[in-house]
Amino acid sequence: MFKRIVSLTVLFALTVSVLAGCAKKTVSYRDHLEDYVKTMDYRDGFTILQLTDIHWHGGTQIGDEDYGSERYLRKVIDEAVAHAGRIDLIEVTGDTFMLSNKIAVRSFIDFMAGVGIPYAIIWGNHDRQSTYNPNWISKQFLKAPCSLYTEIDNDDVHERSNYVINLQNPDGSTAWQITNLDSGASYREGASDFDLTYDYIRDDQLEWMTAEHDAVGSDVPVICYYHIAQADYDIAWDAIQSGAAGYKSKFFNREGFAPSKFAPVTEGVCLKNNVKAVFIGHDHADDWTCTTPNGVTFGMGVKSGKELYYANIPLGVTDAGIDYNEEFALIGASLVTLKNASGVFGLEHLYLNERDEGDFVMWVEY
Amino acid sequence: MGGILMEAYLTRNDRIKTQLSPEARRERRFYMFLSVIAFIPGAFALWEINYELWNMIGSVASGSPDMALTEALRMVPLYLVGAALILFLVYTNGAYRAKNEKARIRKWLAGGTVTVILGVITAAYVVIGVVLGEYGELIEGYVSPLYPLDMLLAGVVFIGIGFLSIHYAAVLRRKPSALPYVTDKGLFGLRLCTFGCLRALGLAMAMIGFAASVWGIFVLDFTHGYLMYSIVLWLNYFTAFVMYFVYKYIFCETKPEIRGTAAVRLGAIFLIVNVVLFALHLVTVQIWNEAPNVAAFGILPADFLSSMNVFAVAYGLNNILTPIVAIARGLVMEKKGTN
Repeated sequence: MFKRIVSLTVLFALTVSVLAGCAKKTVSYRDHLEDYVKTMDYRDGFTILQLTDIHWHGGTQIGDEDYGSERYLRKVIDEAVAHAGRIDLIEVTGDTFMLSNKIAVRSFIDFMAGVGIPYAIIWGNHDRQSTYNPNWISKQFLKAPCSLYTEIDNDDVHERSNYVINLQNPDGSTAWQITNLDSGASYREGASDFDLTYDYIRDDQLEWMTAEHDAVGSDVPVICYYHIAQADYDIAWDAIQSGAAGYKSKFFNREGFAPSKFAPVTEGVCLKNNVKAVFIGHDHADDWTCTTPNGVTFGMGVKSGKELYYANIPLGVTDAGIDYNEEFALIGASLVTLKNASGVFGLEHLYLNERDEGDFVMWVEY
Repeated sequence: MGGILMEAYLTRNDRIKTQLSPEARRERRFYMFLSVIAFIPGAFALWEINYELWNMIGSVASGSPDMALTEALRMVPLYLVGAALILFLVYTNGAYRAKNEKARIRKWLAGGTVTVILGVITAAYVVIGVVLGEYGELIEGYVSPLYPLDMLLAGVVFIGIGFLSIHYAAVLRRKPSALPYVTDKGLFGLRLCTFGCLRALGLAMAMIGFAASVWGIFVLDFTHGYLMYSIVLWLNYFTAFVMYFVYKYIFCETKPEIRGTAAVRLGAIFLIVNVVLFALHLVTVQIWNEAPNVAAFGILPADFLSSMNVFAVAYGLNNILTPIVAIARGLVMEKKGTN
């Protein structure tokens, strides 16, 4: 009996090992670049509202338009529409959900359908951390109303939400390219690596991004969205702190950045692909944004809502380059306006706090 | 080996199978039924509490205790219902395995009273929460499709269960149970601190493991080359439940004179299986190092903390340490010739 159990255990281990080989065949992005592309009509003044780190969750009230996250996001979007006149695209840059469930996902999809503005959602590190299969949520956003989400199943590009939105001129040429990347969740080097770090943008993603850009023309300006900071943010911050010339920076850094210890420096790829700006989320207590001497802007979105955690900005923070005369929570959204097809864009951050005596609303231009 | 296990199985609850009246057997089935209906929803409630707890820990650790408090206040009915389910499981089990009739009656009475109180507080909390606007409406639909209405209904059900328990205690006063009494040593002093705590931990691990293995069927990504990792992780959770099941429904029901041997041999089997499973788990993480986050994040709720696979490793260690404790206990039993 004892031997039988040992034999069965070994047999089981071998069976599982064989099953592990049953992965589907990987397909190459090179064979179907067009499948990663969504298109929208371009106009000068095209507006992109970035919502990030919503953590739509329900523990702190969702699913009712009068309460919690839903009410707050509606206010943010309404404020942005009132401010800009029109929002053409909403970028939802990761950690939309955390420790959530299918009910919450469906309520978010219903909410965005109700908003009626096309939106591009990308994965953050926490979006997989809920009681649903990651494949399920992909399918939901692939078929959701107003969603531009695209994912190629089992391709050779790291992770899931790698897709572009080509903003097209009336003649069919591309005026701007919006590149969405999936910066993954966490990363470890193996079972013995207890020093878990965040995931990072891989070479194959940057190669795919270059291929998509080459397909529309190397002079087309690009704006890039993903979730977790890469090495560029720390490099720029350190350079500015050490007094390096040629940088421009603004907004708050209350938390520091949390790049992977393997995160690459991407500025070279950005310059090669005419990337004008990169915008991320992830760090709730930061919306710090800088432009390097080479002209690439690395920005952080403003956390949209209070879920999980957020920063309170006290009076007297002078290094943010902002004049304000009352304390406020660092929550809201950020707005990019594409001025023209030559790569000129504007950036504004919205801070919106709900208060009993009337909402606090402040727009700050970069 | 096969003989002792077969004997352990066939003689489980020996006092009933060979000695007890049909009425006692019916009572036994009644208690088994109660343990199942408390265990399954209790496991899912505990899982959800575990999930929410990590979210709150995240809020506190990140400097936003206000968000943790907001969430905690909204989840109070869930905690109460989870507590009531676990309490029900504990006191019905205690009554089943009582040392004498007085103790059995006392457990039904005390358990029922506390259950009524928990039920009243749960129902009242939901009603007051809706009236005061803490809940937007009676059916917000988060946590479960009917939340918090389902918690209100659960509160009402627990009030009923509590009163029925009190009533059953009164019935037992008039007509004592047909079930015999256990002769195990009680858990006091050092034994309470060791075996008592281990049992409670084992129960919690089994309940969360059960819920995780059910959720895992839907949550785990069995594609994209993560099949092996997902299966092994799933088995890690499921084994925690199986071990508790075997402990509760085979070991605890085994004739006292063969318990020592049964503990050693059951422990040895689980030790081998779990060491292999844990080794496989480490191998799969080594090979598919992104698998925990990509394929299984949904049932690794603590993994946003900065350590590797907190839950999976905890379960692996639990599944190895538990059989070791069982073997040690079995050896002591065999040596002392006691149960």
